[in-house]
Amino acid sequence: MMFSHEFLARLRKLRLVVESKRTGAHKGIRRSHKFGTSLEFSDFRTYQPGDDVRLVDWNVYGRTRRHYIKRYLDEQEINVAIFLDCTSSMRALETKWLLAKKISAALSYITLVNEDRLSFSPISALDTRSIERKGSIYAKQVLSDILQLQLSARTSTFIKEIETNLQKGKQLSIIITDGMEPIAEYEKLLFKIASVKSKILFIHILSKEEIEPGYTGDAKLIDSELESEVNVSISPKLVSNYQLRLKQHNERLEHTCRKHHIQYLFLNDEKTAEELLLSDFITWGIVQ
Amino acid sequence: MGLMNPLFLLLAFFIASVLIFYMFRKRYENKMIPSNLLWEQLMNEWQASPWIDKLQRNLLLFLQLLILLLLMFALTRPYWMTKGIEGEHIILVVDTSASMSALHDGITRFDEAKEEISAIIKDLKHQEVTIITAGSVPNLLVNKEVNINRIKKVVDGLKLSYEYSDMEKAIRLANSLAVNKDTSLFVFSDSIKAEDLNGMTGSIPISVFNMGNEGNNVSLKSFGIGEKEHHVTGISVIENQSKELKTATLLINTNENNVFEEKVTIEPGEQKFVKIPKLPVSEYYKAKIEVNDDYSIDNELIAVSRPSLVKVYLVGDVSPFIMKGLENIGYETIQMTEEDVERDLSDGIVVVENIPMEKWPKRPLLAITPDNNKEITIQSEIKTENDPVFQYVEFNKTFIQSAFSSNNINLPVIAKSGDIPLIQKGTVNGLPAMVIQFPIENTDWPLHTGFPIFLYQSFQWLAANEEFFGFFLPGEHRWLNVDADNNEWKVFTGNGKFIESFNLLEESFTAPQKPGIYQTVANEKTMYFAVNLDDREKSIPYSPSFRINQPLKESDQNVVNHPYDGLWFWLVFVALIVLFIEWEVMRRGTRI
Repeated sequence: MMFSHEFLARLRKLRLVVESKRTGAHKGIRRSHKFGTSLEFSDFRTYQPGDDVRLVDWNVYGRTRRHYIKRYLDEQEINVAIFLDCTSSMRALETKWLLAKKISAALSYITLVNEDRLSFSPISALDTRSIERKGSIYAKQVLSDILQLQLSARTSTFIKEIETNLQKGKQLSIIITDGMEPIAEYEKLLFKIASVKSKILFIHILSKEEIEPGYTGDAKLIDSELESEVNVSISPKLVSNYQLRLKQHNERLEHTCRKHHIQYLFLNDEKTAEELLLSDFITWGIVQ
Repeated sequence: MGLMNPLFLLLAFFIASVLIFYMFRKRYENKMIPSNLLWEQLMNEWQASPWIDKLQRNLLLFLQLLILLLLMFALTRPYWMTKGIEGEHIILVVDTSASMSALHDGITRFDEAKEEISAIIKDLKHQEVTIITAGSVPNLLVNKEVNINRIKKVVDGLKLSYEYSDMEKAIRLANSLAVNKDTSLFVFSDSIKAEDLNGMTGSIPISVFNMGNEGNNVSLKSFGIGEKEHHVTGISVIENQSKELKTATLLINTNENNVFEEKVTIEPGEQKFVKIPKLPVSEYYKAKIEVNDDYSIDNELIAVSRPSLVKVYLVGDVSPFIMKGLENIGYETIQMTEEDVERDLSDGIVVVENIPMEKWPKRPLLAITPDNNKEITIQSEIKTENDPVFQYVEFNKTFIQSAFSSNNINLPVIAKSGDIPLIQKGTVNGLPAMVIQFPIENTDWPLHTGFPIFLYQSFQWLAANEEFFGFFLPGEHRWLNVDADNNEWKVFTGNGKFIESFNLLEESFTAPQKPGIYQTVANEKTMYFAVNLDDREKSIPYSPSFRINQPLKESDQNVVNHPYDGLWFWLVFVALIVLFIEWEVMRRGTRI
């Protein structure tokens, strides 16, 4: 269940890519576009009355007889919010749930290792609180906390819950879900999320069994969340119709995301989390 | 209490099927999946496809309406008319005579008739069928048969008998079978005319199907051979029955070798005699005309040459009048002593005088005074039976002085004086025998003109039974008189294929049906005999088909309409099936 040290070592070298102009309030190790107090030299500018006299570069003054202020780049943290869909639909299939946990744990780990501020919210997890942490000292602990997330209670829908948990002032929001809710609801949610004007990552996880249903014959399908039942006599034709419908659903989800400038990722549990993080995420430009 | 229709208990099958349906009803396996979101949408769409949607909304209603409709229609007992054959009992009379083998449009009249019959049988509906073949005697093949398959088998097995068919007799038999009920009679022949049926009583509908059509025929009317001065000569008569000039080639062959050939041109309707001057000696001669006609079975005739009994063996002290008389009428007489009787006498007739019955050789025989113990003077008038041997003889005008009375010869008496038998005629040991109970010398008979005539006719009769073998009509039955040790006769075809064997002590000899040459083996002796066509079958007359006593005046008369009312069953059946469907729909709710 735990990641190997090797993998964690490689994760430590990665960081989340955030192009946002806005940063968090606290100091971090992430180079900011703002001028600040890091050791990194940025440029000079002429002294304006009211500038801090301490910032005048006297060496330059000695050579030019003009007052220049020496400026440095700032190093700041970013706020990363990870919303993990912990509804029953995510948990119904073990592989999917594990993948989701691993992805969110690894992303949390990367965040903390890079001295960024993490806000991890397990949505619909009734008895688990969200984690607010900063600093690499918490990285290991948070990683194992997330991986050991054990939930059993049945839950209501993801969208309803996430709306109450939305936070502003995050530079990066990562939503991990299976997207098994009506598209219209998602459109509303994504519209709302997009309004915070930060970078948003929508990770859509489905298991292989959902993509290619393996059951045959007559089945009474029970919804893990709503407990509604559907009697289905599965035939190849029906399955292909289902797949078509699923494809349409996913495409609409992706389209909605693109409309709101939300990065959409589609994962399935055929690949391991390690593979996804170390190669696919890098390719997609999520981490570097 | 009883069940009127216990057969319907078979419908318990439906109860069983309901139970089976119950047992195998759809059982859904519970399956927890993350979300039904898409499945629900899918199933909604699946069920909501336009045509099924409309239907489904009221499917139960429609099904119930359909059941009620079907039941209602079933109760109305619908029926319609189907084609069938008139009559409860159908009698088919089939002509199997040789003329039915005449070709018409490439098939024989007989095959055409069989096709007709098959067509009729196809239309049968639980009707009784009787099939009679009309040969020389009518033959009842099936009687009041209902089983179609058996009837079909019999019809398929119908064969030509080549006999002369006595259609009248057959139709009369059919008529007598048609006593009660609603009977119709179908006759399949080729030349029955409405006048032929005039004698038929009753009003049963008769349909006569005359097969074929007018056809060309050249017939070999007769063919005979004779021996004259040690030469075999022949004569044949060929008749052109067609309406055009015909050229035929007459071929005579013996043992597959052509020995004579002549081309004959005959005017329409004419006969032509062909004399065959000289033929090599052979056991049989096959005459054949090669001509293009529709009826080939009458183009062939067979003549079997037989050793004519020209020898007469005189055993004992035979009266010289007899000897002279026989020589006069052309017989070769051979005088023998009593001791020579053991010799082979098979090529002649035997005359014995004063030899008791026990010592008679086993041959056709004329015995004079076999029992000469008690002489009686003839005083009363001579009376003769009307026997062919006395034709032109006027035996009663003969003066007979005395006769020997004998009680131990039990032969039919053909001439007597009072109670005293004078001439007896019959069979002894299966052979013809005549007994004259008076010495010829004691009469003035040899002076009468009738004496040689009597001798001639007697010897003809004696020889006739010997010459029984030679010609038969197809399928002819004939009782043959044979010795006890000579009773197993085997019949082979001309080229030696075994046909059947007869035990002539127990059964009559039956000639094969098909015309041609045959041989029999009896007592290690082979004899040829020919089966030749009846003279009446040597033409192919044709008359148009007709019907009489038809109750219905329809254009298509051999089919009448029978109501078919079995539909209600199928309606109920369909209603039941719809009921099952309805249950299934109900059970599933609106899901499919």
